[in-house]
Amino acid sequence: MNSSDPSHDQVVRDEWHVLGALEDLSARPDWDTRLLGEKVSIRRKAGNTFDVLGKDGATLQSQQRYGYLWASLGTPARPLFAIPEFDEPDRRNLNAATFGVHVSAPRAIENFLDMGHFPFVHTDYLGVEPHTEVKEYDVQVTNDGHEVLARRCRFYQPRASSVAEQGYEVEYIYRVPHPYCAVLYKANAIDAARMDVIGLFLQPVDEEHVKANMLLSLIDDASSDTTIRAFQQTIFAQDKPILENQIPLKLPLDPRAEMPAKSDASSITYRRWLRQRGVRYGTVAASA
Amino acid sequence: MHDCNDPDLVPRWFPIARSEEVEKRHVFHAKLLGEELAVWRDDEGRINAWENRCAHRGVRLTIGDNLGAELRCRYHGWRYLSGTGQCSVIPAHPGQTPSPAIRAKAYRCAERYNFVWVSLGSEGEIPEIATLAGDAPLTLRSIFVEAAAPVVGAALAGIAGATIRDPFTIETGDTIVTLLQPVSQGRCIIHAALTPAPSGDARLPVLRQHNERLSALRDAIERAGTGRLFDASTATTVDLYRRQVADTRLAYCVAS
Ligand code: FES
Ligand SMILES: [Fe+2]
Repeated sequence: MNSSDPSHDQVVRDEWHVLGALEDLSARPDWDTRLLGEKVSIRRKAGNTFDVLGKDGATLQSQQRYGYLWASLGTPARPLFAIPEFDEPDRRNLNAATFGVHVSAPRAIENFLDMGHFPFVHTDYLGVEPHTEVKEYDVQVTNDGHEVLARRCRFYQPRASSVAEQGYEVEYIYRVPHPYCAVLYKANAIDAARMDVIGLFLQPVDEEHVKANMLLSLIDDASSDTTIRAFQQTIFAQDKPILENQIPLKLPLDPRAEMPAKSDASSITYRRWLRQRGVRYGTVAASA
Repeated sequence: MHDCNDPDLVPRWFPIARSEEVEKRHVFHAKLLGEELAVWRDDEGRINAWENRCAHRGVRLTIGDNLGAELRCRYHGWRYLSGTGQCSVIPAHPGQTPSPAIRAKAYRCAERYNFVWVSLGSEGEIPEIATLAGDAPLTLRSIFVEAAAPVVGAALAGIAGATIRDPFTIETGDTIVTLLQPVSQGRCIIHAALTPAPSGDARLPVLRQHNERLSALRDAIERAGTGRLFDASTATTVDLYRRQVADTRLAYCVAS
């Protein structure tokens, strides 16, 4: 391996990566998974704690956060990103879905940030023709360069969540605080003063495979877990065949490789941000 | 992108489907020299063969919708016009005219002899095939073979009575022409046409008989590889074929 080999991407090795939902892990004995193409072993200890071992058997840094197990193949320079809402006492936090998708992590993040596909991929759920316009929104890099933030993202949705009964224009905030994780905020359908939070945490199994975990942190006391999960899994299942039919499966970082429109401002910023951070894993490098 | 470094091969016209397979309001998936194609017929009957990749985010156009005059991508609904491939609609920005730089990459394509032909380059013509020039020939079911085109070509040349027109065009009898589509380095499709088309009740048994012969040939190639397929009586033709392949430098799909 040399430093130009994307499979040895130190920037990405030094990040925290999600390895699964704790409620699933707690139900199983020791098990193995893959992270950045390498075998990782999870060993259950007393009191629902875990050791995470790398391919050579060495113990990796790990932690439990947001209902998930996280580990790093390197040395994280910073703590895992914050989601302050998660710890509010009246929230319902649940892992709504864990899905394997044959695509790179950055392509999946871009899909999560993208409103333009709602009427075509999530027809009658998150969008419907003729309401296809993506109005101008604000996108910037914040938090000392560690985060992409898109605000004032507005879109007409016929059925924005499992409790919504009629269409209305929703407003979203998107955060990308990690190359392979994104967090979405939207006004709660019942209590407009508060925000529902949806986190997408991708386990980069290898450059072209992810396990996508969806965290819901909701102000919602009506729907059952089953109803909420069924809704999110429907949405996920609609995205999957699109993601798996992108050529290439890795995300091109060369601005000339694909043709963005103005509505792709968040994608343009995300790609530039990955380039500047030197993230190579799961991307196609820009040619000089 | 195709993966062919052979400059003689890239612009060559190849059949990639039977005409009847490219139906209106459908999008047909083909592959030629490693390049994936989205092939579709507009409501006027005109054929398009495009790189199978939306200019926006690379989604395969074959999972999109053929709207009759435009192809619509599944992901964000961008539409591309039949003929030029120019993007005509970006739904996220209604009322705005998309930049002329946004277009699907359109390859040369045409229908001839009841096949759809495509060239990935900009020069050259569809080969003239005198045997098929008369009335509309009857096309057989195309057969996919897990072997390089010249390997299959040699096997076709080994059929008694075969006449080689070029390394991809072999007449395996007085009335049947086989045409090879190099899908990728190790794969090809055998297209075949009968002329004149048998009529009425004769049609079905003839089709079945040829289909069985070609399927048996495919099985033999995939089982045996090259070499042991031929008997002595056709050795000269097979040799001739191999020399032709060597002369035309078909570097792309010839095992060295
Ligand atoms: S990828 Fe085709 S419209 Fe966006
Ligand atoms: Fe989606």
